[in-house]
Amino acid sequence: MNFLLKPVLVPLFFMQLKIPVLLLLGILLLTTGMIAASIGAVSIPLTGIIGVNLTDQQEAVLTSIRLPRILLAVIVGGSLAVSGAAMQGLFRNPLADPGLIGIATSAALAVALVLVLAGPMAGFFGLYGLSLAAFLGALLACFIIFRFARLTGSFSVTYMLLTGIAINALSAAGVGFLTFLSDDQQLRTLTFWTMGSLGGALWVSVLVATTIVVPTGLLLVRNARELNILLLGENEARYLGVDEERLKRTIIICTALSVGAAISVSGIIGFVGLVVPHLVRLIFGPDHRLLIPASALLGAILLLVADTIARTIVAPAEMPVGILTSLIGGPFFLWLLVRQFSGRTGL
Amino acid sequence: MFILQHTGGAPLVAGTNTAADSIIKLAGGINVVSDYEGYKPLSPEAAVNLAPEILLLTTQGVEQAGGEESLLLVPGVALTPAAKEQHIIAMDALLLLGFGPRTAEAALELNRRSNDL
Amino acid sequence: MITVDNLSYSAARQQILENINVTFEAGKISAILGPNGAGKSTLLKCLTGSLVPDNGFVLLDGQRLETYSLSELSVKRAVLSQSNPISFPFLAKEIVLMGRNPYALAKTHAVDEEIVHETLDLMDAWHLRDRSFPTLSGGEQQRVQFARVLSQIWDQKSAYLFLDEPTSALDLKHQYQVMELIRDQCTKKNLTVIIVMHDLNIAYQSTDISCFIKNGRIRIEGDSQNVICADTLAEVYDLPSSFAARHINFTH
Repeated sequence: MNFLLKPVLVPLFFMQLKIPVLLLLGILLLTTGMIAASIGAVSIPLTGIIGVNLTDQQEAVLTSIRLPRILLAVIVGGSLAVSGAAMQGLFRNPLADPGLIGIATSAALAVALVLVLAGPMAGFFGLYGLSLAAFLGALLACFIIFRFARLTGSFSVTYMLLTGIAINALSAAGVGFLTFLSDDQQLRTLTFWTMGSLGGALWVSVLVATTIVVPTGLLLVRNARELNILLLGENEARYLGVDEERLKRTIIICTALSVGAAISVSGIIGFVGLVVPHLVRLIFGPDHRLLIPASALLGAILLLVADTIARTIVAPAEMPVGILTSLIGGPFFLWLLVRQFSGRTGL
Repeated sequence: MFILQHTGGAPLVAGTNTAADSIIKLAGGINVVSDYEGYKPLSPEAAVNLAPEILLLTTQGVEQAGGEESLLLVPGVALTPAAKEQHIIAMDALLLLGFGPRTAEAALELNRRSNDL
Repeated sequence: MITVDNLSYSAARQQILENINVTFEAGKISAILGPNGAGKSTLLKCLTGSLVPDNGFVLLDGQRLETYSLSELSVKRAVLSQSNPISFPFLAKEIVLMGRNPYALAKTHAVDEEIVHETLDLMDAWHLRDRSFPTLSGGEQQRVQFARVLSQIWDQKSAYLFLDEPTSALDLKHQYQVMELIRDQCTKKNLTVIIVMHDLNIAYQSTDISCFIKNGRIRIEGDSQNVICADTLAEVYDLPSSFAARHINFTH
């Protein structure tokens, strides 16, 4: 494909910024990861992380619980933030995020359906059934949005947004109805699922999530320059030689796959996709060539921090991480709104 | 340790002031989770630290988790002594948790089955 | 040169353009004029290829418009649309640099930067280069967008420049500067310039050809100095001839 070969137009003032910023965030992520690896119910000294003098128990906890969980937090956080950044660019709306167009809610609906109607399942489906349902639910939402956008003749962003909002409402109603039908145990599972958790992190989930999130993320970075152009308007993008329909299709598919994978291993984790790109934009500007990779790193860092807090703050129990991200994200978002209304930054 | 259910995230485990906690005590056992009340998601690492010798579940809970084999793969749970020895007791939810005339029967059964392991 | 042959366009069962036949020549500035809802912007969209006509066709350099690829067109013609809000804080210079997107493959960063500088300078907007675009005033935004459009075909000869009300937000001084600039570029680079506008004053003074549209048809077309007269105005805008005559006196 030609878009894989297109080099990125890098103006001088941009180049000066990109490499150091990404390096800095990378180092920050690594440090956070090291610290997170040493904190927990079983404490492991920092030197132990590189494998020095570990008891059997410490080693077992590190390799089979903590490491996969840290990696999963990084992957999921990165995925949500990148998808948020791409969606905001696609909809030319700084308030968009994957939740807005119903991807998360329809994943929740699929999970509720499996939980309440399909009942218990054995073996493979027992272990991965909900993940699979969430993933398919997310993709289905994306597919419906697509079909409807097609019906109108063009991939109108407005129609996609409106379709997404309708799907969101419908799915929420469906979840509500299934909640009504569910028994005590199902209800509890569903509630905790919608609050998100990385507590189920297995190496398998890390592997599956990585194989989906990383390639789609790279594809989004590849399209970053054209995503910039799209902000001028859909017609303007075409005048400048951007095949905007192909671009929109790519972005929708990539984000749906990525978010679907993230949700399927973690449940619904709110506000990362919304807040992280904003934060990056405030500090480093709106250029998607920096915004997307920097969001990936910052999203990873934030979710890692949130999850480390989630699993230690009420030990031995753990707090659903979605509560924490929303708790931090909500007030921050309000602050952003106030800022936008006061009109100083024009967001 | 009583696991109410596991479906994806951290397993929901019974703390104090739960039916499961009471039935364990009635059966002469000790619930390793004493730091919190009610059913809460238990941190996988804490599960390792608490080192339960027996995992108690409802048969429905086992089904929902996808059978005993799947249960033994759950992060944290997999590293407990109970999982290594495969000491899992599954009992009917109503019998185990529905306090009533059959509660004595349930406690006796739980006691007998834990001694048999 | 751009030739429109028997073009018709309809939307929602309403005929918007009907049997349009017209030729716009290179090296000349042509104005498309007419009352609101006459079909001016629709015609412009058909000319730029963002709308596909039901009937008839558009020839660009003698070749059917639809046979060009997006990237071929992007180095051949530039379009200034009416204002489009941009919701992210890109700097003015970054917006202009986006005009160089068609040349991203060429890796000519230094040249691109040079062109950004030059076009911003010509639009009297170089001092705005480090300002966030959404915080600029309407007129400033229009000038920056114009610089972007200029930069897109800056190093092309005989390209096409389509402008939809390029001076609508500008003050008198900048209106004058921009029209002078268009004339200068048009002559130097043999551009085909087509402007949709409302201001008869500017059309009279700064364009070569005026093309009046009413109800989806071309009514009157010819040298601006000749066709912009009281009779035309009375007919195209349904004005009493006394008012049209007074308006024209002011214009001339």
